[in-house]
Amino acid sequence: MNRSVKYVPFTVGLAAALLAAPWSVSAQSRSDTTLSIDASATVEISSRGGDIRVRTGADGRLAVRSDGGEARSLVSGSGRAFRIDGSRDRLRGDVDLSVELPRGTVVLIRSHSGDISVAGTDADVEVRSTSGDIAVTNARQLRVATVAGDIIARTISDGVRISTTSGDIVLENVTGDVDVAGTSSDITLRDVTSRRVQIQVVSGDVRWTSGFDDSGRYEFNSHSGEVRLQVPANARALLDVQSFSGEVSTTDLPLILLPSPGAAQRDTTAAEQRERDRERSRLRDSVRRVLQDSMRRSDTSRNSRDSASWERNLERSVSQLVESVLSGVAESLSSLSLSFSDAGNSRARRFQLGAAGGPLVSVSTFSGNIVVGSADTGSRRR
Amino acid sequence: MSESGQTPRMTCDTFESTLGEFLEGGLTERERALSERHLSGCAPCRAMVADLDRIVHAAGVLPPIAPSRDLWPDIEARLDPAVLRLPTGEASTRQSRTVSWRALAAAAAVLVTASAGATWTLARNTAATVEVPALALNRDTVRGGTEAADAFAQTMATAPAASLGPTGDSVGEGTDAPDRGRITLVADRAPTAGSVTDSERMITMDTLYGREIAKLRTIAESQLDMLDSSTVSVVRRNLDIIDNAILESRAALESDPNSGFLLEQLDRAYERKVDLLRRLAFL
Repeated sequence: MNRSVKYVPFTVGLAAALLAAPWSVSAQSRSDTTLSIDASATVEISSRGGDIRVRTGADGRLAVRSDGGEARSLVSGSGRAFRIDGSRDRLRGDVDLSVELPRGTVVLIRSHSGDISVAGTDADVEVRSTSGDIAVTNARQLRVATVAGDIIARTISDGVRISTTSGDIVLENVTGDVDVAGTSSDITLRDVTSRRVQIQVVSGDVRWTSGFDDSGRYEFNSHSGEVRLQVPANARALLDVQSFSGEVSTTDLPLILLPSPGAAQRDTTAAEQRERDRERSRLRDSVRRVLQDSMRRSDTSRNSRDSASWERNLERSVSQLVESVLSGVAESLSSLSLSFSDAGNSRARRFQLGAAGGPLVSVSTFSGNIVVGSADTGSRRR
Repeated sequence: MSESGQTPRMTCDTFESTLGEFLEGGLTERERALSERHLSGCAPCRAMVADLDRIVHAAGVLPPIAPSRDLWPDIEARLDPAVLRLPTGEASTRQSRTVSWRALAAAAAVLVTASAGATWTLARNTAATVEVPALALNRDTVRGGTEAADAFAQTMATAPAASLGPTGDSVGEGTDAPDRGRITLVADRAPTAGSVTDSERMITMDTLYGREIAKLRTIAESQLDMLDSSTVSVVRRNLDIIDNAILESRAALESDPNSGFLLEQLDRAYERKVDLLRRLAFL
């Protein structure tokens, strides 16, 4: 058997191509082996510099193709636990690995610098790597720890946890807790259904295009990058926004500034009181209109919009918001832009997005801007 | 340093008793000068310091340990009277020049307290915007972690492996200033308002992260030659980005020292740095 190894240099953006054509890498020294594997097994794949591609095939069958090296000699284990070591042939360098395994197999990958793709396993996937692109589709829970390289994850059903430094991250159609931390990574999240989201990055931008669950908790932080939340038009949330020198703005959704938690209430003079009363009645109408629209949109499915309790709820929300707006700092704006750049101004601002209530959504930056808008607008602009 | 010519000589025992602080940079300038002077003239002590350095580095490259159960409640219970008694000065009369279990524990605790404290601080910071960091220091405490080290040592000593050392052994730095250098791991679930200022917390954070970063950086640097040059430049660029974020947060804190938010930003940046260095160190 010809064992000469051809090093296949990885190229940027290879991840997508790898998914489309898992067996396509060409080399003369290709070798295959097939073993039987139990259902719900765990396969650990390691490599230093080779690419790793994993896809699903027939039940009970583990097929390994190595591009360089003798495939059978790279595989150890049996039944429910296998190990495939592409870095075994140290003298001759690393091999590229293509692995076909049954759906439901847990995949653990340890790699140094190759590209990695895992498609369709519907089971947990864990990747620890240093560089190289990572693409995972149709998995249960995804954990990634790496340093550089782009990461794309689509259709993940039980949460994503990513720690990286550089390289962009795209998450699409994800359900479950999301915890992403990076340094210069731009992070894009689309169609996320989650009650626990934590995104933290230093210089990268964060773009969230998804809704919020009323019982959820969402945190977005970028030091100097922009955080852009694009939410459905009927979304509601208590938006805690904080920045040192960034600006917060909304493109098309009404944000109502609420008194900051713990903000000191100012004493008012009689003249101010009269002015406030006039302002109150003026505000009441416009706030009521905004809220009514917003609550109608969010309540369409409940068929309860004309009930007495719905009206009471609306009135209560209107009063609450009007008083909030009047009690201090507040403005009621449908297109708002607020600068944090004054010294000592970096205290939290709390906004009501949409109808009263909703989950707490914390957005903070040091110098990055914060933009809120509806998802529809965002996608038109893209 | 010129006045150090007037200062008295330090004995091996005194040196060893302040070793924890010495390793962590927790001594005053004068104490440090004394210690260094002692070191320059004492080969056994130099060897001991070299040993400890090696141990700290070796410990740093161990893989992360996932305990099978949460040990914190146990440890916390032992810490409960948060401030441990210091021994009176002459308790330590050992002649042995081998590295004592206490010194080992001190070295281990440098690693443990730095990462645990920092992580805990971060965890609590991110848990809710209004909470204050949980790691509180008494006044003038930037000086060192010997008490924490001792707490750790004591926990070790009272654990089943009693051979680590006699549990009754008084531990600590001894000598003349019982309140000095006292780090208190306060489990202040209910924040004690006003007891610790934000600038003190900033210093705490700098100290805690600074120690861990210094150690991780040494290991990480040695790992860089395992990486291809493009990854190395990515790493360096991102370290610069993080350092810049740290500098910006610190500068902003100078102008707005009571901002919990800015402190949190600083904390986040530090955490990113530790995270990156740790990933490199554990390659």
